Amino acid sequence: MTRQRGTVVAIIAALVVAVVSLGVAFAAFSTQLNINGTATVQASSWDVFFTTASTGGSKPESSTNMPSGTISPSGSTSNATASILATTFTWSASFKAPNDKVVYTIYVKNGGDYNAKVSNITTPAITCTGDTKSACTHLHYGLYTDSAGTNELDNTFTVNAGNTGTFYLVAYLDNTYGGNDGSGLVSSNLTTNNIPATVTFEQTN
Amino acid sequence: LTFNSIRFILIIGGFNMERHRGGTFIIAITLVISVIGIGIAFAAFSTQLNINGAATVESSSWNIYFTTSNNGTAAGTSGVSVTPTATNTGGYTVTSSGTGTLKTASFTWNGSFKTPGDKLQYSFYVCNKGSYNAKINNTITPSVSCTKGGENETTVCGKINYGLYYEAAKTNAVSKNDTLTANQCRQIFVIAELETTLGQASLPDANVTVNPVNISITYQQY
Repeated sequence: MTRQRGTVVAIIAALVVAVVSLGVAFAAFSTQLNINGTATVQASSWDVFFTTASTGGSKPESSTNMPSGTISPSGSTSNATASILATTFTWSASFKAPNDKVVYTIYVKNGGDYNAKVSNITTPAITCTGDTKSACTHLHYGLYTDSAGTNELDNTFTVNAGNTGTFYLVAYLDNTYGGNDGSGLVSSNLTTNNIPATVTFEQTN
Repeated sequence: LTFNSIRFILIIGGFNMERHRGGTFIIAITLVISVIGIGIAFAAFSTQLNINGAATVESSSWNIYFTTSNNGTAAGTSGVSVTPTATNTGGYTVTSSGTGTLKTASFTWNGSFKTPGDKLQYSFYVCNKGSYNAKINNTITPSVSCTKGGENETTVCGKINYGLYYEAAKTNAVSKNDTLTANQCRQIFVIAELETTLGQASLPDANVTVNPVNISITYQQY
Protein backbone atom coordinates (compact mmCIF):
# COMPACT_ATOMS: atom_id res chain seq x y z
CA MET A 1 0.00 0.00 0.00
CA THR A 2 2.81 2.37 0.99
CA ARG A 3 4.71 1.59 -2.21
CA GLN A 4 1.58 2.10 -4.25
CA ARG A 5 1.01 5.53 -2.73
CA GLY A 6 4.56 6.45 -3.40
CA THR A 7 4.13 5.54 -7.01
CA VAL A 8 1.02 7.68 -7.37
CA VAL A 9 2.79 10.63 -5.81
CA ALA A 10 5.67 10.16 -8.16
CA ILE A 11 3.38 10.04 -11.20
CA ILE A 12 1.54 13.16 -10.16
CA ALA A 13 4.73 15.00 -9.49
CA ALA A 14 6.03 13.97 -12.88
CA LEU A 15 2.89 15.20 -14.55
CA VAL A 16 3.10 18.56 -12.79
CA VAL A 17 6.69 18.98 -13.87
CA ALA A 18 5.81 18.04 -17.44
CA VAL A 19 2.93 20.48 -17.66
CA VAL A 20 4.98 23.31 -16.17
CA SER A 21 7.72 22.54 -18.61
CA LEU A 22 5.35 22.61 -21.56
CA GLY A 23 4.00 25.97 -20.38
CA VAL A 24 7.50 27.39 -20.20
CA ALA A 25 8.32 25.99 -23.58
CA PHE A 26 5.07 27.38 -25.09
CA ALA A 27 5.72 30.78 -23.58
CA ALA A 28 9.07 30.70 -25.12
CA PHE A 29 7.58 30.27 -28.62
CA SER A 30 4.65 32.69 -28.84
CA THR A 31 3.66 35.75 -30.93
CA GLN A 32 1.08 38.34 -30.11
CA LEU A 33 -0.82 39.50 -33.18
CA ASN A 34 -2.54 42.88 -32.82
CA ILE A 35 -5.62 43.90 -34.78
CA ASN A 36 -6.48 47.55 -34.31
CA GLY A 37 -9.52 49.27 -35.81
CA THR A 38 -12.10 52.06 -35.61
CA ALA A 39 -15.75 52.11 -36.58
CA THR A 40 -18.03 55.00 -37.52
CA VAL A 41 -21.77 55.11 -37.06
CA GLN A 42 -22.95 57.24 -39.92
CA ALA A 43 -25.56 59.92 -39.42
CA SER A 44 -29.02 58.76 -40.44
CA SER A 45 -32.63 59.34 -39.67
CA TRP A 46 -36.01 57.67 -39.60
CA ASP A 47 -38.64 60.16 -40.71
CA VAL A 48 -41.99 59.16 -42.13
CA PHE A 49 -44.72 61.80 -42.22
CA PHE A 50 -47.72 63.15 -44.11
CA THR A 51 -47.02 65.68 -46.79
CA THR A 52 -49.04 67.91 -49.06
CA ALA A 53 -48.25 66.63 -52.52
CA SER A 54 -47.14 63.61 -54.44
CA THR A 55 -43.79 65.30 -54.91
CA GLY A 56 -43.26 65.37 -51.18
CA GLY A 57 -42.01 68.35 -49.22
CA SER A 58 -41.00 69.29 -45.75
CA LYS A 59 -42.81 68.00 -42.72
CA PRO A 60 -45.70 70.31 -41.82
CA GLU A 61 -44.99 71.68 -38.38
CA SER A 62 -48.32 73.45 -38.21
CA SER A 63 -51.74 72.39 -39.40
CA THR A 64 -51.83 72.58 -43.18
CA ASN A 65 -54.96 72.33 -45.24
CA MET A 66 -55.14 69.61 -47.82
CA PRO A 67 -57.14 69.68 -51.04
CA SER A 68 -60.77 68.90 -50.38
CA GLY A 69 -61.80 65.37 -50.92
CA THR A 70 -63.27 64.47 -54.26
CA ILE A 71 -67.02 64.45 -53.93
CA SER A 72 -69.35 62.27 -55.88
CA PRO A 73 -71.95 62.46 -57.23
CA SER A 74 -71.20 66.06 -58.07
CA GLY A 75 -72.71 68.52 -55.62
CA SER A 76 -74.33 65.90 -53.46
CA THR A 77 -72.43 66.65 -50.28
CA SER A 78 -71.88 70.02 -48.71
CA ASN A 79 -68.23 69.81 -47.72
CA ALA A 80 -65.19 67.61 -47.37
CA THR A 81 -62.12 69.09 -45.70
CA ALA A 82 -58.76 67.75 -44.58
CA SER A 83 -55.56 68.93 -42.95
CA ILE A 84 -52.25 67.44 -41.95
CA LEU A 85 -49.79 68.04 -39.14
CA ALA A 86 -46.64 65.89 -39.09
CA THR A 87 -47.96 62.40 -38.52
CA THR A 88 -51.65 63.25 -38.22
CA PHE A 89 -54.16 63.51 -41.05
CA THR A 90 -57.53 64.95 -40.05
CA TRP A 91 -60.59 64.78 -42.28
CA SER A 92 -64.18 65.88 -42.05
CA ALA A 93 -66.93 65.15 -44.51
CA SER A 94 -70.66 65.46 -44.63
CA PHE A 95 -73.11 63.33 -46.51
CA LYS A 96 -76.75 63.75 -47.26
CA ALA A 97 -78.02 61.43 -49.93
CA PRO A 98 -77.50 57.71 -50.45
CA ASN A 99 -74.35 56.99 -52.46
CA ASP A 100 -72.67 60.25 -51.45
CA LYS A 101 -68.95 59.56 -51.47
CA VAL A 102 -65.74 61.38 -50.59
CA VAL A 103 -62.25 60.35 -51.66
CA TYR A 104 -59.21 61.87 -49.97
CA THR A 105 -55.74 61.54 -51.44
CA ILE A 106 -53.10 60.98 -48.75
CA TYR A 107 -49.38 61.47 -49.35
CA VAL A 108 -46.74 59.89 -47.12
CA LYS A 109 -43.17 61.10 -47.38
CA ASN A 110 -40.26 59.00 -46.31
CA GLY A 111 -37.69 61.65 -45.47
CA GLY A 112 -35.40 59.26 -43.66
CA ASP A 113 -32.62 56.99 -44.82
CA TYR A 114 -34.38 53.68 -44.55
CA ASN A 115 -37.00 52.08 -46.69
CA ALA A 116 -40.34 51.75 -44.94
CA LYS A 117 -43.31 49.51 -45.29
CA VAL A 118 -46.69 49.30 -43.66
CA SER A 119 -46.59 46.99 -40.69
CA ASN A 120 -49.99 47.60 -39.15
CA ILE A 121 -53.30 49.22 -40.03
CA THR A 122 -56.24 49.89 -37.75
CA THR A 123 -59.58 51.12 -39.04
CA PRO A 124 -62.02 51.23 -36.14
CA ALA A 125 -65.71 50.95 -36.83
CA ILE A 126 -67.66 54.18 -37.13
CA THR A 127 -69.72 55.01 -34.07
CA CYS A 128 -72.33 57.67 -33.43
CA THR A 129 -74.06 59.01 -30.38
CA GLY A 130 -77.82 59.53 -30.38
CA ASP A 131 -78.35 57.77 -33.67
CA THR A 132 -82.06 57.02 -33.49
CA LYS A 133 -82.35 56.14 -37.17
CA SER A 134 -79.30 53.86 -37.32
CA ALA A 135 -77.91 56.13 -39.98
CA CYS A 136 -74.42 55.45 -38.66
CA THR A 137 -74.57 51.89 -39.92
CA HIS A 138 -74.85 53.23 -43.45
CA LEU A 139 -71.58 55.18 -43.21
CA HIS A 140 -68.44 53.37 -44.33
CA TYR A 141 -64.79 54.20 -44.86
CA GLY A 142 -61.53 52.49 -45.69
CA LEU A 143 -57.94 52.97 -46.78
CA TYR A 144 -57.11 51.92 -50.31
CA THR A 145 -54.26 52.05 -52.77
CA ASP A 146 -56.60 53.20 -55.53
CA SER A 147 -59.09 56.04 -55.61
CA ALA A 148 -61.87 53.71 -56.70
CA GLY A 149 -61.66 51.96 -53.34
CA THR A 150 -61.00 48.55 -54.84
CA ASN A 151 -57.66 47.52 -53.34
CA GLU A 152 -57.30 47.82 -49.60
CA LEU A 153 -54.11 49.23 -48.16
CA ASP A 154 -52.05 46.41 -46.66
CA ASN A 155 -48.55 45.57 -45.47
CA THR A 156 -47.21 45.25 -49.01
CA PHE A 157 -47.33 49.03 -49.31
CA THR A 158 -43.81 50.45 -49.20
CA VAL A 159 -42.27 53.89 -49.36
CA ASN A 160 -38.58 53.82 -50.08
CA ALA A 161 -36.20 56.33 -48.57
CA GLY A 162 -36.62 59.73 -50.18
CA ASN A 163 -39.84 58.78 -51.94
CA THR A 164 -43.47 59.70 -51.44
CA GLY A 165 -46.27 57.16 -51.36
CA THR A 166 -49.91 57.78 -52.11
CA PHE A 167 -52.96 56.07 -50.77
CA TYR A 168 -56.63 56.99 -50.46
CA LEU A 169 -59.29 57.29 -47.82
CA VAL A 170 -62.73 56.55 -49.24
CA ALA A 171 -65.82 57.32 -47.16
CA TYR A 172 -69.40 56.99 -48.32
CA LEU A 173 -73.05 56.74 -47.36
CA ASP A 174 -74.41 53.53 -48.77
CA ASN A 175 -77.34 53.22 -51.12
CA THR A 176 -79.71 51.73 -48.56
CA TYR A 177 -79.61 54.78 -46.32
CA GLY A 178 -83.06 56.22 -45.69
CA GLY A 179 -85.00 53.16 -46.71
CA ASN A 180 -87.38 52.99 -49.63
CA ASP A 181 -89.81 55.46 -48.11
CA GLY A 182 -87.30 57.87 -46.59
CA SER A 183 -88.24 56.91 -43.03
CA GLY A 184 -84.60 56.27 -42.18
CA LEU A 185 -83.46 59.81 -43.01
CA VAL A 186 -82.17 61.82 -40.07
CA SER A 187 -84.15 64.90 -39.13
CA SER A 188 -81.17 66.69 -37.62
CA ASN A 189 -77.50 66.47 -38.48
CA LEU A 190 -75.79 63.40 -37.11
CA THR A 191 -72.02 63.57 -36.62
CA THR A 192 -69.97 60.51 -35.89
CA ASN A 193 -67.58 60.17 -33.02
CA ASN A 194 -63.93 60.59 -33.93
CA ILE A 195 -62.75 57.87 -36.29
CA PRO A 196 -59.13 57.18 -35.25
CA ALA A 197 -57.51 55.08 -37.94
CA THR A 198 -53.78 54.40 -37.82
CA VAL A 199 -51.16 53.25 -40.31
CA THR A 200 -47.83 52.17 -38.90
CA PHE A 201 -44.72 52.23 -41.06
CA GLU A 202 -41.73 50.10 -40.16
CA GLN A 203 -38.22 49.77 -41.46
CA THR A 204 -37.97 47.09 -44.12
CA ASN A 205 -35.45 44.32 -43.81
CA LEU B 1 -1.45 12.66 -0.82
CA THR B 2 -3.89 10.15 0.47
CA PHE B 3 -6.44 8.23 -1.47
CA ASN B 4 -9.18 10.15 0.32
CA SER B 5 -7.55 13.46 -0.58
CA ILE B 6 -7.46 12.40 -4.25
CA ARG B 7 -11.14 11.51 -4.01
CA PHE B 8 -11.68 14.93 -2.50
CA ILE B 9 -9.85 16.57 -5.41
CA LEU B 10 -11.90 14.60 -7.92
CA ILE B 11 -15.12 15.51 -6.12
CA ILE B 12 -14.15 19.19 -6.11
CA GLY B 13 -13.34 18.84 -9.78
CA GLY B 14 -16.84 17.49 -10.29
CA PHE B 15 -18.25 20.50 -8.62
CA ASN B 16 -16.10 22.62 -10.86
CA MET B 17 -17.53 20.76 -13.84
CA GLU B 18 -21.05 21.57 -12.63
CA ARG B 19 -20.10 25.19 -12.19
CA HIS B 20 -18.61 25.22 -15.66
CA ARG B 21 -21.86 23.89 -17.13
CA GLY B 22 -23.80 26.55 -15.23
CA GLY B 23 -21.59 29.24 -16.68
CA THR B 24 -22.13 27.94 -20.18
CA PHE B 25 -25.86 27.99 -19.62
CA ILE B 26 -25.77 31.59 -18.42
CA ILE B 27 -23.77 32.63 -21.47
CA ALA B 28 -26.26 30.93 -23.75
CA ILE B 29 -29.20 32.68 -22.06
CA THR B 30 -27.41 36.01 -22.36
CA LEU B 31 -26.90 35.46 -26.08
CA VAL B 32 -30.55 34.61 -26.59
CA ILE B 33 -31.66 37.70 -24.72
CA SER B 34 -29.26 39.80 -26.76
CA VAL B 35 -30.63 38.49 -30.04
CA ILE B 36 -34.18 39.13 -28.91
CA GLY B 37 -33.13 42.54 -27.73
CA ILE B 38 -31.74 43.35 -31.16
CA GLY B 39 -35.03 42.22 -32.68
CA ILE B 40 -37.01 44.46 -30.38
CA ALA B 41 -34.77 47.38 -31.16
CA PHE B 42 -35.32 46.77 -34.87
CA ALA B 43 -39.11 46.57 -34.52
CA ALA B 44 -39.14 49.80 -32.54
CA PHE B 45 -37.80 51.58 -35.59
CA SER B 46 -41.22 52.63 -36.83
CA THR B 47 -43.71 55.47 -37.08
CA GLN B 48 -47.43 55.37 -36.50
CA LEU B 49 -49.36 57.75 -38.73
CA ASN B 50 -52.73 58.80 -37.35
CA ILE B 51 -55.74 59.44 -39.50
CA ASN B 52 -58.51 61.08 -37.54
CA GLY B 53 -61.83 61.85 -39.08
CA ALA B 54 -65.46 62.57 -38.53
CA ALA B 55 -68.39 62.26 -40.86
CA THR B 56 -71.71 64.00 -40.68
CA VAL B 57 -74.98 62.76 -42.07
CA GLU B 58 -76.95 65.88 -42.79
CA SER B 59 -80.58 66.14 -41.95
CA SER B 60 -82.88 65.50 -44.86
CA SER B 61 -86.33 64.27 -45.71
CA TRP B 62 -88.27 62.53 -48.42
CA ASN B 63 -91.68 64.14 -48.70
CA ILE B 64 -93.87 63.89 -51.79
CA TYR B 65 -97.59 64.35 -51.46
CA PHE B 66 -100.83 65.35 -53.13
CA THR B 67 -102.40 68.67 -52.27
CA THR B 68 -105.32 70.71 -53.51
CA SER B 69 -103.37 73.92 -54.15
CA ASN B 70 -100.00 74.96 -55.48
CA ASN B 71 -97.45 74.77 -52.63
CA GLY B 72 -100.23 73.66 -50.34
CA THR B 73 -99.91 71.30 -47.45
CA ALA B 74 -100.45 67.59 -47.73
CA ALA B 75 -104.07 66.59 -48.21
CA GLY B 76 -103.90 64.45 -45.11
CA THR B 77 -105.21 61.03 -44.30
CA SER B 78 -108.86 62.01 -43.86
CA GLY B 79 -109.14 63.29 -47.38
CA VAL B 80 -110.50 66.45 -48.93
CA SER B 81 -113.13 66.71 -51.60
CA VAL B 82 -112.17 67.52 -55.16
CA THR B 83 -114.96 68.56 -57.47
CA PRO B 84 -114.41 67.91 -61.17
CA THR B 85 -115.12 70.25 -63.99
CA ALA B 86 -117.79 68.69 -66.20
CA THR B 87 -117.95 69.52 -69.90
CA ASN B 88 -119.02 67.93 -73.13
CA THR B 89 -116.55 67.91 -75.95
CA GLY B 90 -119.27 67.29 -78.49
CA GLY B 91 -121.04 70.49 -77.68
CA TYR B 92 -123.96 68.67 -76.17
CA THR B 93 -125.59 69.30 -72.89
CA VAL B 94 -123.36 68.17 -70.10
CA THR B 95 -124.79 65.13 -68.42
CA SER B 96 -121.74 63.93 -66.55
CA SER B 97 -121.03 64.27 -62.86
CA GLY B 98 -118.40 63.05 -60.45
CA THR B 99 -116.80 63.24 -57.07
CA GLY B 100 -113.23 62.99 -55.92
CA THR B 101 -111.38 62.54 -52.66
CA LEU B 102 -107.78 63.54 -52.34
CA LYS B 103 -105.49 62.22 -49.64
CA THR B 104 -101.77 62.66 -49.08
CA ALA B 105 -100.83 59.71 -51.23
CA SER B 106 -104.01 58.75 -53.04
CA PHE B 107 -106.80 60.14 -55.16
CA THR B 108 -110.12 58.39 -55.56
CA TRP B 109 -112.71 59.51 -58.04
CA ASN B 110 -116.10 58.44 -59.29
CA GLY B 111 -117.83 59.67 -62.38
CA SER B 112 -120.88 58.99 -64.47
CA PHE B 113 -121.37 59.70 -68.13
CA LYS B 114 -124.42 59.67 -70.27
CA THR B 115 -123.90 61.63 -73.43
CA PRO B 116 -121.06 60.98 -75.85
CA GLY B 117 -118.48 63.70 -75.29
CA ASP B 118 -119.12 63.94 -71.57
CA LYS B 119 -115.89 64.75 -69.81
CA LEU B 120 -114.79 65.09 -66.20
CA GLN B 121 -111.63 66.92 -65.32
CA TYR B 122 -110.13 66.71 -61.84
CA SER B 123 -107.27 68.95 -60.85
CA PHE B 124 -104.86 68.79 -57.96
CA TYR B 125 -101.14 69.11 -57.30
CA VAL B 126 -98.25 66.87 -56.47
CA CYS B 127 -95.50 68.54 -54.42
CA ASN B 128 -91.98 67.57 -53.51
CA LYS B 129 -91.17 69.24 -50.20
CA GLY B 130 -88.33 66.90 -49.34
CA SER B 131 -84.60 67.39 -49.76
CA TYR B 132 -84.11 65.31 -52.86
CA ASN B 133 -85.03 65.62 -56.47
CA ALA B 134 -87.45 62.98 -57.59
CA LYS B 135 -88.54 61.42 -60.80
CA ILE B 136 -91.26 59.02 -61.72
CA ASN B 137 -89.85 55.55 -61.61
CA ASN B 138 -92.99 53.78 -62.64
CA THR B 139 -96.62 54.40 -63.52
CA ILE B 140 -99.40 51.87 -63.63
CA THR B 141 -102.47 52.87 -65.57
CA PRO B 142 -104.73 49.86 -65.99
CA SER B 143 -107.17 49.62 -68.85
CA VAL B 144 -110.80 50.34 -68.16
CA SER B 145 -112.96 47.34 -67.48
CA CYS B 146 -116.66 47.26 -66.81
CA THR B 147 -119.24 45.19 -65.04
CA LYS B 148 -121.81 43.89 -67.41
CA GLY B 149 -124.93 45.96 -67.08
CA GLY B 150 -126.76 45.19 -70.26
CA GLU B 151 -126.45 45.31 -74.01
CA ASN B 152 -123.56 47.14 -75.62
CA GLU B 153 -121.62 47.09 -72.39
CA THR B 154 -118.40 46.06 -74.09
CA THR B 155 -118.71 48.74 -76.70
CA VAL B 156 -119.47 51.40 -74.16
CA CYS B 157 -116.64 50.34 -71.91
CA GLY B 158 -114.20 50.71 -74.78
CA LYS B 159 -115.32 54.29 -75.30
CA ILE B 160 -114.46 55.42 -71.78
CA ASN B 161 -111.01 56.91 -71.62
CA TYR B 162 -109.01 58.39 -68.84
CA GLY B 163 -105.53 59.74 -68.35
CA LEU B 164 -103.19 61.79 -66.19
CA TYR B 165 -101.81 64.97 -67.67
CA TYR B 166 -99.93 68.08 -66.70
CA GLU B 167 -102.26 70.30 -68.68
CA ALA B 168 -106.00 70.44 -69.18
CA ALA B 169 -105.32 70.31 -72.88
CA LYS B 170 -103.77 66.86 -72.41
CA THR B 171 -100.54 67.98 -74.05
CA ASN B 172 -98.19 66.05 -71.77
CA ALA B 173 -99.17 62.84 -70.07
CA VAL B 174 -97.70 61.97 -66.69
CA SER B 175 -94.98 59.52 -67.63
CA LYS B 176 -92.01 57.61 -66.39
CA ASN B 177 -88.88 59.71 -65.81
CA ASP B 178 -90.85 62.93 -65.38
CA THR B 179 -89.03 64.97 -62.77
CA LEU B 180 -90.24 66.65 -59.63
CA THR B 181 -87.34 68.53 -58.14
CA ALA B 182 -87.01 69.42 -54.49
CA ASN B 183 -89.49 72.12 -53.50
CA GLN B 184 -91.36 71.84 -56.80
CA CYS B 185 -95.10 71.36 -57.24
CA ARG B 186 -96.76 70.28 -60.46
CA GLN B 187 -100.41 70.42 -61.34
CA ILE B 188 -101.98 67.14 -62.37
CA PHE B 189 -105.20 66.65 -64.26
CA VAL B 190 -107.15 63.45 -64.21
CA ILE B 191 -109.35 63.56 -67.26
CA ALA B 192 -111.99 60.97 -68.02
CA GLU B 193 -114.45 61.11 -70.89
CA LEU B 194 -116.92 59.19 -72.95
CA GLU B 195 -115.87 59.42 -76.54
CA THR B 196 -118.01 61.28 -78.99
CA THR B 197 -117.73 58.35 -81.37
CA LEU B 198 -120.16 56.34 -79.32
CA GLY B 199 -122.98 56.06 -81.81
CA GLN B 200 -126.66 55.94 -81.15
CA ALA B 201 -126.78 52.25 -81.84
CA SER B 202 -124.20 51.57 -79.20
CA LEU B 203 -125.91 53.36 -76.38
CA PRO B 204 -126.28 51.05 -73.39
CA ASP B 205 -129.70 49.93 -72.29
CA ALA B 206 -128.56 49.79 -68.72
CA ASN B 207 -125.97 51.55 -66.62
CA VAL B 208 -122.43 50.43 -67.32
CA THR B 209 -120.30 50.49 -64.21
CA VAL B 210 -116.59 50.87 -64.61
CA ASN B 211 -114.59 48.71 -62.25
CA PRO B 212 -112.21 50.55 -59.92
CA VAL B 213 -109.19 51.80 -61.76
CA ASN B 214 -106.20 51.78 -59.47
CA ILE B 215 -103.54 54.02 -60.86
CA SER B 216 -100.19 54.29 -59.16
CA ILE B 217 -97.30 56.67 -59.62
CA THR B 218 -93.99 55.86 -57.99
CA TYR B 219 -91.50 58.63 -57.41
CA GLN B 220 -87.88 57.85 -56.82
CA GLN B 221 -84.86 59.88 -55.83
CA TYR B 222 -82.53 60.81 -58.63
